[in-house]
Amino acid sequence: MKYLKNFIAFIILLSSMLLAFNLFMSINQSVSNYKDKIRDDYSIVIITKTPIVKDSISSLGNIDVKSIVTLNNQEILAKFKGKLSKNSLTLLKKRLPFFYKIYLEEFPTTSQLQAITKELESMKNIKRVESFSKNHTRVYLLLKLINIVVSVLFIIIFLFAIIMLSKQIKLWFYEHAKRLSIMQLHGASTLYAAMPIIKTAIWSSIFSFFIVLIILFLVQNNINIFLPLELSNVINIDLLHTSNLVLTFILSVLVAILTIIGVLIQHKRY
Amino acid sequence: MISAKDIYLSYDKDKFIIKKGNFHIHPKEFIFIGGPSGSGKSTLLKSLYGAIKLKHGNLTVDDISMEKISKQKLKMLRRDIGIIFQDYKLIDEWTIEENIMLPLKINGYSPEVSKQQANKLLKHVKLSHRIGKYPNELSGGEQQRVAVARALAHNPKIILADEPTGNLDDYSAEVVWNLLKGANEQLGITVVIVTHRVPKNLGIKYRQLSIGDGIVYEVS
Repeated sequence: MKYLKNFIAFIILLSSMLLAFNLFMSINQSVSNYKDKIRDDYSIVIITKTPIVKDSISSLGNIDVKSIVTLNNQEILAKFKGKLSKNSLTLLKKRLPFFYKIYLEEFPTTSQLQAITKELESMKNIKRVESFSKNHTRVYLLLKLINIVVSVLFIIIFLFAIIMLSKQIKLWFYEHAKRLSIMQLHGASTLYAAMPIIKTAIWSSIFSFFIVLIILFLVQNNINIFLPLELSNVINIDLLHTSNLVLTFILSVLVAILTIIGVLIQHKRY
Repeated sequence: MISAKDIYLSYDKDKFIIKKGNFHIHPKEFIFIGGPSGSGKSTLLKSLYGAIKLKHGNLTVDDISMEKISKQKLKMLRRDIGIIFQDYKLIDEWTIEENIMLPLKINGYSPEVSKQQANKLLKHVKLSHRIGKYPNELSGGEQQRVAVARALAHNPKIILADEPTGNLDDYSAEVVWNLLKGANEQLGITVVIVTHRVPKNLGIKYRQLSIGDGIVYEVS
C-alpha cells in the first residue's frame, strides 16, 4: 500500500511536469509557426540617395534586422529602354536612387512599424520610407501573452516538481534503504541491489508518458473546448507533434534516471 | 582462514574500540567471541565482513587482506560469507523463500536452482509449512531460522553470526544452535559467533575469544 502510494505520487508528479513541458513546447512552436506565417505580411522599403552600408542598421524599433536586400532597378530602366537615348539612360541610371527592402527578425506590431518608419525617416541618407503591414497585432500579442504565461507556468511547475522530486528521492531512499543494505551485505552489486528502484523508476516514466499522451490526445481532439474557434482557426496548436513527444519521453526517462542516481547517492552517504 | 595482527578499530578518531587485536581462526573452527555489552564484539565482527574499516594493523579473511580492500573484492568476499544478525535483517516485502534465495541469486544461480535450494533449506529449518509467508507473519524464532537458512543457502566458507539467539526463546535458540552446529560439523563451514552468553552443553568442540578493554584474548 505504501509502495503503491509512493508510486502513484511519483507518477502524478512526473506527469504534471511532462504535461507542462509539452504544453510549453507546443505553444512555443505554435507561436513560432504563426510568426513564420505572418512574417511576410509586412513590407519596409527604403529609398536612399547613396548606397547604404547594410551592417549599419542592425536593429529597428527594438527588433533585430534580419537582412537588407537591395532591390534591382534594372526593371525601371527596362521600361525606358527604346524610349530614351543611350546617353539619357546612362544618366538616368546614375541619377536613380537606391532601393532596399528590410526584413526583420520578428513581425512588427502596428505601433512598432510606425516607430520603425519614424526612425528610418530620421536617417540622413534615406529619402523615403514605404511601410505596410496587415493587422495581425491583436492575435500576435495574444499569442505572445499566452507564450509568456505558459513559460512562467512551466518554470513554476518545473521548480515545484524539482522540490517534490527531492522529497520523493528521500521517500524512495527510506523505502529501499534496508533492502539495499541487506543485499549489499550479501555481496550484491549496486546495480543489482538497486534493480527494484530502477524498475519502479522506469515503469513510472513509461506510465507517466502514456498518461500525458492520453491527456494530450483528448485535449487535441477537443481543442475547441479549450480554445475559441476563431483562435484555433488562426493558429494551429499541435499537441501531438512527434519531436515534442520524443523530447517529452526523453525528459521522462531523464527524470527517472536522476531520481535513481539521487537515491543511490543518498544511500552512499548513509 | 581469518587472521588479525595488531588491529585497531574505531568509529571516532581518537577512541579505539579494539586496540591491538591479535587472533587467528582456522578453517572449520567453531568460534565464540564474548565479552560484556559495548566491549566491541559486534564491531570486531563487522570488520570481518568489511562493514567497518581498519584504522591500523593487518586483517585477512579467507586470504583477502581487509586493508584498502576494493569494492569489487569486498563484494566477492561477502558472497563467500553467510551473515546472521540479531535483528534477522530479512527483506519484509519478500517471502521467506525469496529471502533465502537472495545469496543464491547474487552468486549467479538460476531461479529454478535457487528455488529448489530454498525449499530444501526451509524443510531443513522445519519451516516448509510456512512457504509463501512474509517475515512479519512469522515469530522471531521462525524469522531467525529463515535468516540461518539464508546464511547457509550458498554453502559459504564462513558464517558470521551476531548474537543470533539474543532475541529468541530457549526452544528457538536451541534450534538455531543446532543448525549452526550442523553447518560446522556436516558442511565444514567456519562459524564465528558473537554472543555474550555461550550456551551450555553445546556438544561441539569450540574455541572462545573474549574482548576486554579493547583487547582480544583467548579464553582457556
